[in-house]
Amino acid sequence: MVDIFNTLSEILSTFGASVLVPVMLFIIAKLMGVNNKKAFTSGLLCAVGLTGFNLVINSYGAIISPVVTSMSENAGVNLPILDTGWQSTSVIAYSTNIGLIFFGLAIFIQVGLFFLKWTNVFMPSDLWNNYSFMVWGSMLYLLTNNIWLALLLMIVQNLYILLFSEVAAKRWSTYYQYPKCCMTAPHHLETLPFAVLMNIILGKLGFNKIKLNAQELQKKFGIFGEPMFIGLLIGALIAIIGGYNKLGELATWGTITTSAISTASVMAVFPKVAGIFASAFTTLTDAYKSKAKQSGKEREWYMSVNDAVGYGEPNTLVTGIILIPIMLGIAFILPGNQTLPMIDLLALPYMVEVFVAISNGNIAKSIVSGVIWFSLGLLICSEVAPYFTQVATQVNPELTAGGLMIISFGIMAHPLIALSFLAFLTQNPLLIIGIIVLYFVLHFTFKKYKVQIVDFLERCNEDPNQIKSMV
Amino acid sequence: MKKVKILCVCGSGVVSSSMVASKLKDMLAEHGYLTETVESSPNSIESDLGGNHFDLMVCVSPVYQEYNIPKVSGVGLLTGLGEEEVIEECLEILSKLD
Repeated sequence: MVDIFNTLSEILSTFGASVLVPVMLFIIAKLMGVNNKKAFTSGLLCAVGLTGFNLVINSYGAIISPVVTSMSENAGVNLPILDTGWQSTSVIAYSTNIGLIFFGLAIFIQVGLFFLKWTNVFMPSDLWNNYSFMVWGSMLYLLTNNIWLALLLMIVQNLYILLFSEVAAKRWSTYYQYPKCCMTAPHHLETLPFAVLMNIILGKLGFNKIKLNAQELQKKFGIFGEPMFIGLLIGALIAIIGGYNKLGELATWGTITTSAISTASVMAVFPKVAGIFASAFTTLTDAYKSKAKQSGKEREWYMSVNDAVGYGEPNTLVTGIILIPIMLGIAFILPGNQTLPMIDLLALPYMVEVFVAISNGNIAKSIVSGVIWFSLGLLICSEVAPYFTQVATQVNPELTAGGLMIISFGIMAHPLIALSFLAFLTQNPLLIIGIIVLYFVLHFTFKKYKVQIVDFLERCNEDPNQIKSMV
Repeated sequence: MKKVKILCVCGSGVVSSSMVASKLKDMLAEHGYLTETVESSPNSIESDLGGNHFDLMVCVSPVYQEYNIPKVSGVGLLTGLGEEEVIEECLEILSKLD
């Protein structure tokens, strides 16, 4: 028996994730009835994406690491945690064993809860975003070595997110104008309680009367929203801060231009690499949509869609783009923060979707709520980055990132979901049972007052002075 | 097979756009089209178009600007509830080419 385990662990360490994950993916694809050619392509795309991700992060890390260090040495700005984006989180999460176990389990749970009418949200149509649970679970497993606890955490998080997305389903569907569609991305839905609270508070403070014209603002920003351009600016900015006392030297300007161009390159190249990886999984995540169609005929239900469908909506895009410089600035001055938000700054328009939908497109409200929530999130990122980095290097022994720690601002800067992780980390049974009991209380309260709650969210922004055309 | 080139637009040009791209390739192949796709995001459309010629853009994220290329909403491909409608709309545009 011991021999078998030894052989197995030898095999695992010899081949590594870039061979084993594609093999597992091939097997999963076959089990789901995908044909050989597609299943093999899927596995190969995954291996190529994983390796490509290493290449990009390592070579970029080597360039940017000295810049980040000199920022700390010369300017006293200590931000040694590099935000490598949600794309890297997905690559890491899908390469962990426990993540893949949950991926399979989640399909059963989500399909089951829908058919048992526990929820009216069909979540398996956006399986992709499950990686968000998987990364929290992988970190918990790393720290506690308890696979059951890690699985339980992911299931509990999933239950809460399903509840939140059902609460927000009608609001999201009306605001973004996708009939019968909702969003279930865990990292966005976790903002719901805060978004609702802030919407009420800011409404009382008179924010309902502040109207910003998204279309006009969008024209003014023009080039600023372009990923390459944002990369160029951030890369230059951190190198200037790092060398502010040596701006008279030519070498400093060499560093500044290199940093600017390589950050611009990462912004442009990374989505392509991540796209290769993602397309390995899209064949699989596609298989479940047809199942919902048959069952959903006689009841009110919502089909989960990817958060991408809300990204380009003018109020959402403008709120997100305004938040880019604000969050970057806050990262430099927020006491206790060690995270340098970078690649996921571009994800801010996704991250504000819940704020925007709940406030019915109020840009001012969404900005204020976003600033508070994501600032707390920066502190969370700084707290969990060591674990995140450890999980990343475990699945990716080649990953060095120039010696920096890594994180994803978009996926991890979420205080509420982090709270559930920290609670499970204490391994205190009372605390964990408390969280589960709270879920059931919230669930049954929602079911009882569903009409009132959904109606409240629809009407809470009604203001005779509000311009209807903004919606 | 007739060759066509389609720009697929989602939030970041990563997940949904590649999902839509692979569906377009499969479903348009049934109608005799060999489809080449480029994945893009609302903020990068301009640089992705560059000097290249595209026959069509299929968007799953709202795109409000006009780029002189026919625009089709691809959300039906994403939900799986309106696939045929999206393909028909694409075919109608493609059939008017050359």
